[in-house]
Amino acid sequence: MIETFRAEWLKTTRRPALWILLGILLSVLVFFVYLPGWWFFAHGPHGLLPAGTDVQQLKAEYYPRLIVPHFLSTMPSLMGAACLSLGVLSLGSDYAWGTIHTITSLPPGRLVSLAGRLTVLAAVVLGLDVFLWVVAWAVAMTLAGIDQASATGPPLQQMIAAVATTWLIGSMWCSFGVMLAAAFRQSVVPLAVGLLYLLVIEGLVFNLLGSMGGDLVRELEKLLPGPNAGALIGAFGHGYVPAGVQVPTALVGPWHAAEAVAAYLLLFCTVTAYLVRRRDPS
Amino acid sequence: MLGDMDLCVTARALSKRYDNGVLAVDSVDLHVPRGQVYGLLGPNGAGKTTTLRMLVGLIRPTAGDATVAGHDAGSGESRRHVGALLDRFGLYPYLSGRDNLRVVARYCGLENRRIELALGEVGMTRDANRKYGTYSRGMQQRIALAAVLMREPAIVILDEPTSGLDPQGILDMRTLVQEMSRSGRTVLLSSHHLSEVEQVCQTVGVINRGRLVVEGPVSELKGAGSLIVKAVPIEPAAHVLRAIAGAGRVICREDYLVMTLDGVPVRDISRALVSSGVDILELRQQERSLEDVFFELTSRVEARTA
Repeated sequence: MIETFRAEWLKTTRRPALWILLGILLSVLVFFVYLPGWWFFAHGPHGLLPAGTDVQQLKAEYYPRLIVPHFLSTMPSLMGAACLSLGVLSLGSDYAWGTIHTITSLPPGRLVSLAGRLTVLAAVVLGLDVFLWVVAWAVAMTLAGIDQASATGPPLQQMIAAVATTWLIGSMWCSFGVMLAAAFRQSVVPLAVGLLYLLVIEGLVFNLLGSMGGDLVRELEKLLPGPNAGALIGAFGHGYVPAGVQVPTALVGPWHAAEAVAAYLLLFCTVTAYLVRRRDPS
Repeated sequence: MLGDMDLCVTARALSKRYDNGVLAVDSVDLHVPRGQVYGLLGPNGAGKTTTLRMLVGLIRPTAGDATVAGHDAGSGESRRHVGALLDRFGLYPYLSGRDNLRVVARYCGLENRRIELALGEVGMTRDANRKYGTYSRGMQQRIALAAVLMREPAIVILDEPTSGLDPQGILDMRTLVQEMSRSGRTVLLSSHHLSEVEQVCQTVGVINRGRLVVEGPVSELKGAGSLIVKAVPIEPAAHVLRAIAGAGRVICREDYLVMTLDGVPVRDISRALVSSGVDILELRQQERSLEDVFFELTSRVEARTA
């Protein structure tokens, strides 16, 4: 198993796609999530903001104290898309390049090599997750330094919980990607299907239906991975909310959400194992 | 007849029907002798690749069973003894040749020392740090072969090993297969190049439309064709041969007879001619190429299925 992990680690970490995804996430974090907003609140035309908006409070979102809600308000969905792509590419490309034949014909066997792959992906997602949090922290510290604001961060326990949450959600979407790749035995279709589901079906359709009300939709949402991930993130609270803006209530409690996300992670891994074991690679 | 201990690969009634209903392999029985080069010969789409994939464990048979190195085909134990180079070489284009071997070595728990030895064996040490995706097909095949040899398998399975190679590459591959055989390895290769099989294989199985048409040593298959008989007087000789083989199997030429053997031992024919008082001037088996055998066998199957 350790040897399989080492083999998977070598091929995963040398893969350019991983570093491209990391570069994209890093750019989004720095150049979309942090710098433009901070610059706007620091130097922008504040007349565009609704009357009564506290600009200082909005600016404080970019400092370390509110790093958790600020990071969680934007990054998880992007990280989810990146992790899903990573999962699809990890197994889907093996089908495309015929490398699945090589792996399957080697001694470790289908399930052991899959276990190695999933473990490496979980480790890579954790690395990616920690790296983005560290960058966010560094940027927040820098902005606080520029504004001579307090550099005090949130409690360590909250930080650890937030990092673990994003890792759990990222791992879930990654395993979803691996499962789709195993189901379609390629990477193009599962990538399209996965992103369509994550960004359009869950991100738009259910949000729209949910906002229109209806108990049935809300009950259905409670069963889906995305809304549960959202509820888990929502448990960390939010930053400054201007007067008159309503914060949506959480669909489920944080523990229920965490259990649901973990259950989905397990389900996706189990289905993948079943598909890989039962079906021929070509 | 070889015993099971002398066989490295056996298959009994091995069959594969794909989900779309296509019967790719139909009750194939294979007997690959240990330490020999065995050629699975057949036209495109005959079922060679499917058969090899079942032996490696990439495809599960729908019926029948197979053993490789004494273990169930596709089991963990059999995979330990098999090195396979299939139609696509199956290595990572973004990794260097050396890193690809490193991945395989890690999967198999091999020492890095083996990587360098294998690279040297296939003559790729100098180019090993280049990305696999930038190699020519011949170089890609060498690296893939290094990945096989590095594991020092008892049996090497090669699917169309010379496909797409230039003449030098074909020659190198042939030499390498012969070296593997000399070092005591069993090699099972598939090909539709008859001359290639004839040059490197000791035993051949001819597969057509999913069925194994014939299997045996190359020398036997080639020699089993016909017998040239020069005898005086020729008419009684023809009469004797017709009595043994049937009228349709004996052709009278100007001053000799051609008899299709089809399993009749030559010594029985010789005895029958002598005891009938015929003087034998010449008695020899007609040399046939594997190509003749192949086309004869495959056309027979086609005629039967038509």
